[in-house]
Amino acid sequence: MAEEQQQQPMLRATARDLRYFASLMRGINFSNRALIELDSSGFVVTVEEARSFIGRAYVFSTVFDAYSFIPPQIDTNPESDDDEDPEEAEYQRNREKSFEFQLTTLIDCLNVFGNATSFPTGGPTKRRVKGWKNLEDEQDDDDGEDGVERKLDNFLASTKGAKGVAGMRIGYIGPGHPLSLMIAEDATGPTATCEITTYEPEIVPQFDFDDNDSDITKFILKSSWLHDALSELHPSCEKITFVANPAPSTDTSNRNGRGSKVRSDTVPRLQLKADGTFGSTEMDYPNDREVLEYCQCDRRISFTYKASQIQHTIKALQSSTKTSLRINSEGVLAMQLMMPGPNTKEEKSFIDFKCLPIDTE
Amino acid sequence: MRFRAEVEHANTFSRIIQSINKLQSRCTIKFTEDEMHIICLADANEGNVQIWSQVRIASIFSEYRIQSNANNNITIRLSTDALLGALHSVSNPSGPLSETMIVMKLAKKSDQAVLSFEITGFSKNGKPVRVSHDVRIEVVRPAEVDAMKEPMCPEPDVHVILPPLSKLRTVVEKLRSLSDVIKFQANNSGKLTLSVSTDSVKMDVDWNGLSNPTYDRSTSSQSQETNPSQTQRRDPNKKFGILVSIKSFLKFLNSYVLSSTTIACLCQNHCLILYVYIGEQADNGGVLTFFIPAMIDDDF
Repeated sequence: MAEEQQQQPMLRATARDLRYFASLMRGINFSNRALIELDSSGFVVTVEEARSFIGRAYVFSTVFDAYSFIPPQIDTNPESDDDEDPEEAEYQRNREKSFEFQLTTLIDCLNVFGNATSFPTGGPTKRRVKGWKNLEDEQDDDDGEDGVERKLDNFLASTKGAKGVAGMRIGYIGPGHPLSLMIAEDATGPTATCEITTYEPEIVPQFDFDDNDSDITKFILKSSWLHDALSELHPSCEKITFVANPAPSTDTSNRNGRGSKVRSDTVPRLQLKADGTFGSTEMDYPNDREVLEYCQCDRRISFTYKASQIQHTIKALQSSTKTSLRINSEGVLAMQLMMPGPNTKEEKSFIDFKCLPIDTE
Repeated sequence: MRFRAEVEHANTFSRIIQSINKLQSRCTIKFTEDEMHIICLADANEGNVQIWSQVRIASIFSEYRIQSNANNNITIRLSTDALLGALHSVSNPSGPLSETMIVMKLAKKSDQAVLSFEITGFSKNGKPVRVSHDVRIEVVRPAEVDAMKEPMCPEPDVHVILPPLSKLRTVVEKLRSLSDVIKFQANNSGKLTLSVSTDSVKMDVDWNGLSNPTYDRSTSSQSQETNPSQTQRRDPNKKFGILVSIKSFLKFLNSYVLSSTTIACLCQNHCLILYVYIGEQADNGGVLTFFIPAMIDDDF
């Protein structure tokens, strides 16, 4: 099989602007060892810490301008269904199309010309002054700047490559081969060729999380709200507790609780409490449609997580637009962060974090 | 010993010193009748990098007067930080003074030899201001000066004009997080490759279409014994390489502040010589020469 793969690399993808890919990779850069699973629709990069925190970046093929994946078995149709394969063969096939590599090395390589980090432009300080906007307008807005300007930037980047933007080509021949990367700014400038060593995949823990579970607490909010809250926390804080409250029994939940009177006598739907050696911080997200776009909470829940692990999500939050935050009855926290892509019309890539709670007793 | 000069191009002077400052905190400056030589010897810095440079007096000074018993040469040793401090107060265009004039002279103040900078100019509200900076120096005896020798290098295998140093610096800084050693490769057909290789990554950064100057003796330092005909008979596509410490290479790249033409000369497995021209190459204003020794690796 190896000989045939020499001819046709398993993965080949090119992007004229590598910043989208780089921002996805930076978002999960909390541990060096990353597992990548390739597929025809894109690939998933998984990073885990202490068997209790997992970050996954779903890099859809739309992040790239060209994407080709040839499954490890000699298959005439790469789209063919694998469902009929026996379990063992399926496992083997999955192993064939996944490998591990050092994530920080990949990020350093992507940024070799120093222009992979320039995206997104808006820092957290810019977000803070941002006024409320209609969510529909905000949808395509991937940072704190004016939506129109941003869209224009996206357009420029996706059509002809903005000035100073580097393009990339990524390739993987197959098991035992390095992950190859080529980065170039423009035709006349320098080119960088990297070969990143790959390792055999190890099993990554899976946390059971059923989105269709009836007893699930779910919030959808703009990522900047969460980012601002987390970046305010003192680095010394050790634990973060997420408290969610059901909607008040009266019909106040239907109102947009703008008025201070309503807000003062309603319980915040979502609360973050941080505890550390220097004191504690509490942050409330009021029952306001413009803050919490969507709330689903049937009973009061409170789960505590390691602050250092929750803080790992900051970088991803900074470049993402929207976050869906879910907690199941066992306290597993799942955060799904929508990430901007080069083409706003198409399916967006996202980063997924799952975190196990710590015992507070 | 008499020495007095007006510093006309304080900016250039300050940039030269800035390029050196990161490498080591003290340097030797030898003033002759028509050149200023700035010398940093390898013993004072960890990477064994040496700098030998000659700057034409006219490209920095005017009203230059020098007199001494040693062939009208004066050699001094001083702290680069102190010198930079003196120059910074005037070289900065947004600084507090305007229309400044700096007079630099050798003086003796309370039994201590100093290089004294008398700065006159006008403050923001038009009042005349006089500032004086004394940089403590050590006069180097002529015998000691003669003992300082520029490193002897074999005839370089490749000469190549480097891409803008500021761009090169970005790349090399990123490579530093991957490895401690960098491989510098170039050939005689305009190709330059910087690479690192570790267990986790191999990375090559290539530049193409650079020019390979034929060696011009008039602008070079004196120890080079090359003639152009030898350069031409080589296979232009043969790559020559050298391993150098990334830290040392980055110290050289601090001279990006001079942002001028830089020629790299590669003596395979011996050293890398870098000529940073001051001003345009044609002006012949001077050159800073960096010698970076090779790291010898058996695998290479």
